[in-house]
Amino acid sequence: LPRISIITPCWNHGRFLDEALGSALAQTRDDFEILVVDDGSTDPETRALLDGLERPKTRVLRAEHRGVVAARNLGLAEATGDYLCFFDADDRMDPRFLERTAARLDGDAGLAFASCWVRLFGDEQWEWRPESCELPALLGECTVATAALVRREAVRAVSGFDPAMELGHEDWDLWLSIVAGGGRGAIVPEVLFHYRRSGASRSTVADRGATYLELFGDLLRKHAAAYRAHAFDVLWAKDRAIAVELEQIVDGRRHLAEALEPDVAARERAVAAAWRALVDAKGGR
Amino acid sequence: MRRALSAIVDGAPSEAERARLGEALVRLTARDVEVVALPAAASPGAARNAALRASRGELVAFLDGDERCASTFLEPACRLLERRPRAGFVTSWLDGVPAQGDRPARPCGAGELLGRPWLLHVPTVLARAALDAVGGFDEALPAGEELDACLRILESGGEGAAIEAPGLRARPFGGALDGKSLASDEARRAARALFDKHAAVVLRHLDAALLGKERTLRDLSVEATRLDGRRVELERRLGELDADLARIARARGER
Repeated sequence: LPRISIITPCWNHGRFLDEALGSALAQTRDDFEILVVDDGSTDPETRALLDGLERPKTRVLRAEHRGVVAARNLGLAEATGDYLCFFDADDRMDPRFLERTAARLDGDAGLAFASCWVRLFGDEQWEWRPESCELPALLGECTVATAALVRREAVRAVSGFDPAMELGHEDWDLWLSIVAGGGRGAIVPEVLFHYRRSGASRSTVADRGATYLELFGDLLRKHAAAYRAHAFDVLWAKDRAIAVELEQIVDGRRHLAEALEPDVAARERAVAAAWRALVDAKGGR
Repeated sequence: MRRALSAIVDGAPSEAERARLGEALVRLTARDVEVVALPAAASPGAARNAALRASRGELVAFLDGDERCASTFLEPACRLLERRPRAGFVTSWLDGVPAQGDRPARPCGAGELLGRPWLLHVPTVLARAALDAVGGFDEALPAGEELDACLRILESGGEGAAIEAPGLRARPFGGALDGKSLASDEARRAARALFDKHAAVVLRHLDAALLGKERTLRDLSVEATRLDGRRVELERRLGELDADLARIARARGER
């Protein structure tokens, strides 16, 4: 049996799927299976691709469209690996992703999951380098990649992804459930995963103001005991983040008001003066 | 409305220093100014209590030495306190955080207060009677004494209000409580002291407090994106103007 099950929900993401599967099949560790869960795709390109999909180690599971949470849970029910990776159809793995994260789980039987640093691509390009996935940090923000390698038993112990979180942050909820229940995770401090970010990404939508606050409110209610137990740490981390952001904004405003805006005004005056001089010169004066 | 200023100076200044500061403040503000000297080790709460003893106004506002008060805050805050006898304080908001909308003053309870950053000073006008009723400022707290006083006013049955406009213009960071120094153990201990003192209230309003802080972070992120867009636009405009200047120079050279 494969040691690792890669679970890839796919809803109309056929144009990215080949690239994603290619990155999984290029792993330096090869004891894995890939379960592509077709979440009721309607796009002809995706349907045609999935109908004819013949890739090594890869099975396609069909389902009616019920969203990513249900698709991942279907993959969870079918998975045979001891370790799971919830790998979205539009992302990419670094070739050593499985090797590096599985080594952590292999070497520490008490570890529930192993995450890593992530490089965003697509509409945003930056590196996400979370430092801690212990409970106080995880209560403040999701510091674990969706695709973190996780023991199947740890996911099953919390009943998989919560269908009530279909709007977003279901992964944050999963990691919180595992860690609040006594599970322990680790973050491999290397960029081993590439996450596609676009304006339409679920994570982008879930991060927008009102939606984010609604989802965060859901987490506060669901994990109330953990939030109360670590109330000071979470509140204090937020205050520090606000102070850092505020300082950058004050600096940014000052830079605009004291440097860039005066520079533009001075340059506009210089251009106007140069034009006048040119016109005067052409007039022979 | 009669307004007076009390300048509280810690660090045990000499008589001559106090006199010089008093003269300078009278020149600057054209108001009565009383300079009160405190020993070097006075806590922020002790400084504020000294100002309370030295001043006579029914309404009091505290401005740190490195802050500038926004001209738009004091007047409406004082009017509001005069109209609402049960209101013990009217607080404002931080410059740099975009206002949540063009809304008038509204009630401000413990959840909203705790959802603000605890150690960053948000200018507030307080009713002396409400402060006296809760025993003034807590001199044992290393920071956050105004937030503490407002929470105690609310807990004792008083009311608070917020005017959603900056009460402070561009606090020059680099001072005592900027982003870097909030990373210090000292700042953490100060926040922890506030938390321990008000733990029951904090836990009662934990969801509101966390959601308030998250909302502020989201608002700051939107503002940072807006500022970055403006920076890019101005840099592009500078490039265009430089190109215009180069074209004009070439045209003059060709003549």
